[in-house]
Amino acid sequence: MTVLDWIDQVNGWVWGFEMMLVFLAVGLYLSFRTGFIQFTRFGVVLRETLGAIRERSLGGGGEISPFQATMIALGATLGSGNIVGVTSAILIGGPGAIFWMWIAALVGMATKFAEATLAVHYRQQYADGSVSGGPMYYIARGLGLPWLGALFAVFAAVAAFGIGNVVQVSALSGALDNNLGVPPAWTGLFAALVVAFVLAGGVRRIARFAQTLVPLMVALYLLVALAALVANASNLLAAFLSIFQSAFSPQAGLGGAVGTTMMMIRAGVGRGIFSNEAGLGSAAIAHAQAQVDHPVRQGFWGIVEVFLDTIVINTFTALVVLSAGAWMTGGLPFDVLMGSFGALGPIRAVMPVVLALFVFTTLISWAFYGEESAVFLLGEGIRWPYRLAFAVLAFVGGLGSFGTLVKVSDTMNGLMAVPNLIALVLLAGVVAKLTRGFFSGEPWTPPK
Amino acid sequence: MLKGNLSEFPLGTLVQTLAAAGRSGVLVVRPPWSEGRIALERGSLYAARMGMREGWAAVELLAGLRSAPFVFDDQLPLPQTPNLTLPLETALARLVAVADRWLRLEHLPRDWQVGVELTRKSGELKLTPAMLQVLGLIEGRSIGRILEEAEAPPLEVAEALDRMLAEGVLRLRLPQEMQAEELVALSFYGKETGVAYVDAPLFMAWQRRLPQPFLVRVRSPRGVERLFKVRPRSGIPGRVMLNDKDLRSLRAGRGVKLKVQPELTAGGSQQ
Repeated sequence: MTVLDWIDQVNGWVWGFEMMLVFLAVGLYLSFRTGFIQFTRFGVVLRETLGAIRERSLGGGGEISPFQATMIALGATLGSGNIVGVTSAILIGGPGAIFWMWIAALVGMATKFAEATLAVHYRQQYADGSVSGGPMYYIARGLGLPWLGALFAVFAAVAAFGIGNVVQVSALSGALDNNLGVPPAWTGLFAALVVAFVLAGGVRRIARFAQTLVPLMVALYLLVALAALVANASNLLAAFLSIFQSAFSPQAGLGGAVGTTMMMIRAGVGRGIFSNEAGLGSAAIAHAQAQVDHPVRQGFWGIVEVFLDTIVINTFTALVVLSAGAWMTGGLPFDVLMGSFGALGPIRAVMPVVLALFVFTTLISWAFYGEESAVFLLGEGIRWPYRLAFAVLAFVGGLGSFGTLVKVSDTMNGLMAVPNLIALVLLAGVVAKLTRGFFSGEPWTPPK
Repeated sequence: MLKGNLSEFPLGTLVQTLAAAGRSGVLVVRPPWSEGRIALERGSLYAARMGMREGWAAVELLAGLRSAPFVFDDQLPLPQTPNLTLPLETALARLVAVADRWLRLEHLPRDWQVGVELTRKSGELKLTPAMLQVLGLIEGRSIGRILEEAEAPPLEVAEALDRMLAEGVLRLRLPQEMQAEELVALSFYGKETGVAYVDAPLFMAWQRRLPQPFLVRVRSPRGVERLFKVRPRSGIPGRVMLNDKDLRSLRAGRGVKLKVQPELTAGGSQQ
């Protein structure tokens, strides 16, 4: 067995169905420990997050506002998975997959809540007011297992180069080359320059970049999707109902391959888990940077992040695809997607732009995740070399797809979940205690 | 030389002790804004002065001080002419009675450096001559100065002040530089209501500038206002933290800018 075979095997395992069940089980456990906060306190969550969106910071440690931290996290989360990935889930599992995607997302909200809460609780605060946090810190400080935290950091730092960089730039250069005839080298160069410029400004510039671009791209995508839904308004109700009808029918898939209920659940749950990255721990690195007076308040943003990613954006994509009906004839996900937006005529040309925005925000957010992970492993001195390497790889990523690197980094991305989920289960008591304390009006006391 | 503070040795006890020992000398009391003296000659009250007050009026005024450093110096010369002629037993008995009357003034602050000002509330209060004197003196004067400068006996003036504070005709005046802070509302949850948390450094700054316990008046942009107990909490600069229910009662929500102003509590304790 070669190394690549071995990586393939691990990849299959970390992204496999059994692992999905682990994700769901951890999410359910955290939901239970937090009193199903995503349902019982959803009103508070909305008031504390979207209802307070104009606020800048809440004081305390950290360098950026809770909203900015969430936009960095959302920038990484939102990607082609929200558009092409959802289409793919429908093609594999039928409309019912969307129902299971919702279920997984609802559970994932508790997971992301716990990640963001722990990230703030166990973050490392420095004399200059800056902070560092994320799963590597809550594993090391909360569980007292620095080696496991380091393992997470290794996975994240390597994953960032692949799925957070090469995969993204490669997809963008391909799309721009095919649709607009932009040479891949130019796309790579542009991506490298943008990355270098944004990263040079540190977390504050990254935050400003995400704060501007992420809401813009979400609004743009939802606007285009809304236009497509209006164009197919007559099919909308039927499309919506088909999600529920299909979810509970034994034969789910109607596309190219006739699916089974199992396939439907697998496709839907997989999308519901991996689209919002709840359980992988990546977003916690961004949430740790937020200026908040209490970790639970940032945890609320974790819930909203999943809500926006999966319940809002993915549902819009799903309804566009289902109401257009193009998915019934099957085909490649991207072709089906573009076919679904066909009713918009020339307006659908916006889609490559939306994709480009999704790519850039993912690129920047993952650069930050990778950098923070590298700093955890090797200290502050690694920041600039890591930034430089990331920018160079962004340029290289425009020139090809680099299958092996992508495979390795994809595996590393999946492996991030292992130490993170272990920590979430073992630190569930801390999350529960912090949540109870918050709702009793107790001030937060950071651990020594 | 005997040194101490009236907060530990009330004036009545102090004078009684000195008289019992048959001491001669001058008891000098130094509140931050003034100085008072009571001279004793072989254990008898001989003379007293505080600001413009002399004789028994000065003793009466000094008896109202809850806290001030004092020193009894037997080397200081006695005034040339006495202004206290009461027999010792009578004087001590009156001192005890006076001290008791001061203690009953619940709305007069302990710290007399604070000023007072008229409120918009007129009410049905029938003004006494002492009250009229107070009203004529409140402009730019602290309570200590009013008590010193009014013509009526100090305790009568103090009772007038106390009554007008109780009726809400007067209120304690904050130092000039203390403006309302504009703080962003932050909610907390739980059972504790009627409490506002502000950032610890701001609370301490207020505490340093205000001579006694205080509340905060919180006013929402919609004009709804309420008084809250105030407590410090670390890590919330630029914020005022209120229970979610209190925020709603102010018709405000998280992120809304609220005007928060300390307000001295008449009587010197938090409600």
